[in-house]
Order: sequence, then C-alpha cells, then structure tokens
Amino acid sequence: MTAMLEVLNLEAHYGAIMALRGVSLSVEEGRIVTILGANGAGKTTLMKTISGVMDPTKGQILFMGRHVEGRDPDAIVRMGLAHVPEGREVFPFLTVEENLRMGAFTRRDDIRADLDLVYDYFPVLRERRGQPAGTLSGGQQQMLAIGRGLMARPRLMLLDEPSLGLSPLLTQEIFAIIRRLNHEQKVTMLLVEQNAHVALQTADFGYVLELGRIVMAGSSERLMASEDIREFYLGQQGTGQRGQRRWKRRKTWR
Amino acid sequence: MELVQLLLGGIANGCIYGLIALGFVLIYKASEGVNFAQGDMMMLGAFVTLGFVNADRMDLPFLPGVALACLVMGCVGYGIDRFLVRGVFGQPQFAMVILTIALGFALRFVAGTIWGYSPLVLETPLAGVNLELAAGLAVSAADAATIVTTVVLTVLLWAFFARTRLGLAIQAASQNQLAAYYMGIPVKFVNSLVWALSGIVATVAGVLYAAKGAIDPNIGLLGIKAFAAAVIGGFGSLPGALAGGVIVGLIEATAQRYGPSGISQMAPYALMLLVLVFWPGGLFAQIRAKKV
Repeated sequence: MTAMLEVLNLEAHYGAIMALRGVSLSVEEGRIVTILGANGAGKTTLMKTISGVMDPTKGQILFMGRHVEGRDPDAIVRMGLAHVPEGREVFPFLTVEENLRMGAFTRRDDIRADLDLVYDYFPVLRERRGQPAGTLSGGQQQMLAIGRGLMARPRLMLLDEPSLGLSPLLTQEIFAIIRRLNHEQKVTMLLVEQNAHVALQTADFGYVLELGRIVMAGSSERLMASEDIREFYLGQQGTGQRGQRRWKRRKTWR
Repeated sequence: MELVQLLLGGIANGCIYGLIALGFVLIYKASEGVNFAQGDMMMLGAFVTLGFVNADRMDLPFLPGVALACLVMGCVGYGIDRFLVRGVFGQPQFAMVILTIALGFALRFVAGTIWGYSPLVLETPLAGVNLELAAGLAVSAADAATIVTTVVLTVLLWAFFARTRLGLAIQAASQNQLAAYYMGIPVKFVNSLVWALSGIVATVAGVLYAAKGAIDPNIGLLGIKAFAAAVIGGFGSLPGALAGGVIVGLIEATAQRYGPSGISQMAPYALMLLVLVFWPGGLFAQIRAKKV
C-alpha cells in the first residue's frame, strides 16, 4: 500500500513556543487514521500545518508524493486535500447552498452532482438549503462543514474534532456518516478527536500525540487494548488487589 | 413642489455620501479596519478623471476617460492593499487607522503637486443642463445622473456579490476569514480586490461630485460626512451605507432650508450621535452573535 500523506519530522512554532516537536506519521490510501491527544498536544496545529494554513519551521509533508510544506492552502486544496476545521467555521450569513458552493471554490467544473451527493448524505441540509448557515443548529452546522469539505471532491479529508459540542447520539450519527464516506466515496480520512472511544471505533489506525510528539502508534485494536490508552484516554481504571488503587499509573506507552 | 425639489437635491447629494460610505464598508468588511483615506481616494479619482478628460489635459472623450480613471484607481486601490495595508495585517486596529490617515495626507499632497491647490472644474457633458420634470420642478442633469448612476452601480454590485462565484468568495472571506482559507479561497488576493473595487466606487463618487462644482485636493474631507453616513447605516451593511448616505443628504438639505443657519453642517453628526446612543449597531445592522 502507498502512503497518501507522509509527514516527516515536522516542527512548528507559535512565536517562541514549539507546538510540534518532530512529528512523523503516514496515512495510507483508503484508511481512516486518527490522532488522539489531550488539549494542547498539538493536534490542531498539526492539521493546520498539513493543510497549509500554518507554515512549518522544519520537516517535510508529502501529499501524494509531492512536497506541500509551506505552500498556500488554495494550492493544497486543489491537489485534493480538504480541511474540515475545528468548531465548524461555517459562513454564517451565506445560505447552506452558498456555503457548499464555497467548498467547491477551487473547482471550475460542474458541481451539481456533488451538491446532490452531499444532500443525499445529509438530507436535512437539502431541507434548509436556502437558510443562512448561522441559523442552523450545532449538529447541522457540523454536517454542513463536512459537506462543504466534500464539495472540493477531496482524496484526503482532515477532520478536526467533528464531535465538538455535539450530543452523544449526534456524535454517533456523524461518525457513521464518516465511515460511510470512507467506504462508499473512498475518501481517506485523517481524524483528530478528543473522544477516543468513538475515534478508535471508527479508525483503522491511530497515533497518540502528547506535547508535540508522537508517543504511540498502532492499529486501533492494539491501541484499544493498551493499558495506557485504556486508562488515560478511555477512562477505564484497572483495579488493584484490594479493589481500589491509591497510586497514579506511569505512562509507558507500550 | 418646492419640497420635492429640495428632497431631490438632498437625495442626489446623499447618493455621493452613500457611495463613499459604501467604500468605507467594503474595506471594513474585507480588512477589518476603517480606511480613513476613502474620501481622499474619491478626490484622487476625480482628479485622475480630470487629467484624462479636460481639454487642456489629455482631452479624451468623457465616458472612456471615466472608465480609464476607474481602471487606474482600481489599480491604485489594489496597490494600496498589496503594498501598504497587508503589511499591518494582524497588527492592532489603530495601526491601520494611522496608516490610512497618513495615506490620506499623502494622497492630498500627491494631487496637490500634480494638479495644484487652486479649484479646478471637471469638464462634463452634464454641466449647465437642466431637466424640466414638471412645471416648477427642474433637476440638474448632474443630480439626475448621480441618482441614476448610484442605482445602477448598486444593482451591479448586488448582482456581483450575490450571483458570482468571486462575489460570494468575497462575502465568505469577510464573514469567516479562516474558513475561507481552509476552502482554498485566496484571501489576500480577494482583499486586494475589494480595495480595487472600493477605489472604483470612490472614482465614480468623485466624478459625480465634480460634476456639481469645482474640485481641489481638500474635498476628501467630505469623507468624514460619509463616515457619519456609514455609522448611521450600521458599519458592515452595504445597503445600510447607501441608505445612511441618503438620510444624511436629506437631513442636510431640509436643515439648510428650514433650520437656523449653521444647523445643516451639524445635523449629520448630531444624527450620528443619536443613532450611536439609541441604536448602537446602526439602523441596518447585520451583526448577530456567532453560534458556538
């Protein structure tokens, strides 16, 4: 299998603060890969650097075999990489349909088929196509953000916290659609998520990012079985001999 | 009849304020700062046109001359954003305020150096022509042209923003710059384009203003009254800017006729204060809280 996205020793700074300290990862075509990590681990920075909104200070990013580090986002979108940003970021005063059209901004061909495709995945957007996006509920806005990303007809989609602020039920619904898109539309996904449970259920492969470094990588099954992941990300606590524990486990990342 | 006459003149003046206010709002939405040089861009647009069409200058036919001036001022607007405003992007708000105020002075001196400081008259085919609408009701061709041009320009701008891909992209970039970046919209280019557009609108306003009288490098101070119009309309709303301009024009005209002397100069600013106190978002505010 070929790697669609290859990130090598990526470093990024916010002023003097180092947010990424040499991150390497690869995303193979057709997969869903997730990046887990606590607040401030550098997940969003990593996504922004990949999609070109931020420039890395060091390291390389190869998308479909071509160097994209430091290039402008419009060039990268045109190559087939769509970024669904954290917190939805819809255009509040444009209608739902205009938002979707903006998702296809870099394309010059006919987009009607893709509009229909998005409306088929998210029927509620069809109902509300003429309504300003700012008046949608949070879940609908997330659907719109994903649909808007799809309109670029991407090969790879970066999804930054699609469950942010959604109810557990809506989260399940969104992730079911993400799986379907991956399966039916062959969109490779790189998924950043705080909700490790649903992320590992959805993804094939996962990385754990802590303080700007990858500390663990493995298939979702392996990660889900790992003691550290179970304790620090899935919130399950092993019990000691006396049925309770009075110490904090050290992370070993094995 | 007299009142109608008065109101027509007020509306015509108001259209010019409205067009300048439109330039303010366009740039406010794109660059998130006020361009205090907007009035001076109008002044420069009028002088560039004068340079193209006056008989003792290049003596081009009127309409091609205006079109050429629009083109030149579009490039000037684009250049101002590309080489000056982009440099203070991301700096605190006042950086752009100071920059544009300084730019206004610079433009005034540029115009003064090239065209001199004494008043000049732009030769237009409209000069001295009056249209008789009804008995006792005449409107000068300049006023009629002002109103018609403003309406046409408004419709064109509306169509551009609502119907074209680029226009939508400009709206998108002004509503959520970061998201526009993610969509692959070239935000910097789009912002420069808005400056170009506002340079063109300023030129049209300048030509219409010049059609009514003489121009000198200080007419850019009209921009302050247009700023009041933009505030009254609710900064950030394009239709509001035009409406604000017309309101200011009407109030000025009626105050001049019926009020005590001096009140007409004061009236627009008094209204601005009233609006700020009672409707802080402006009369046509388009600001709603962002949903998280």
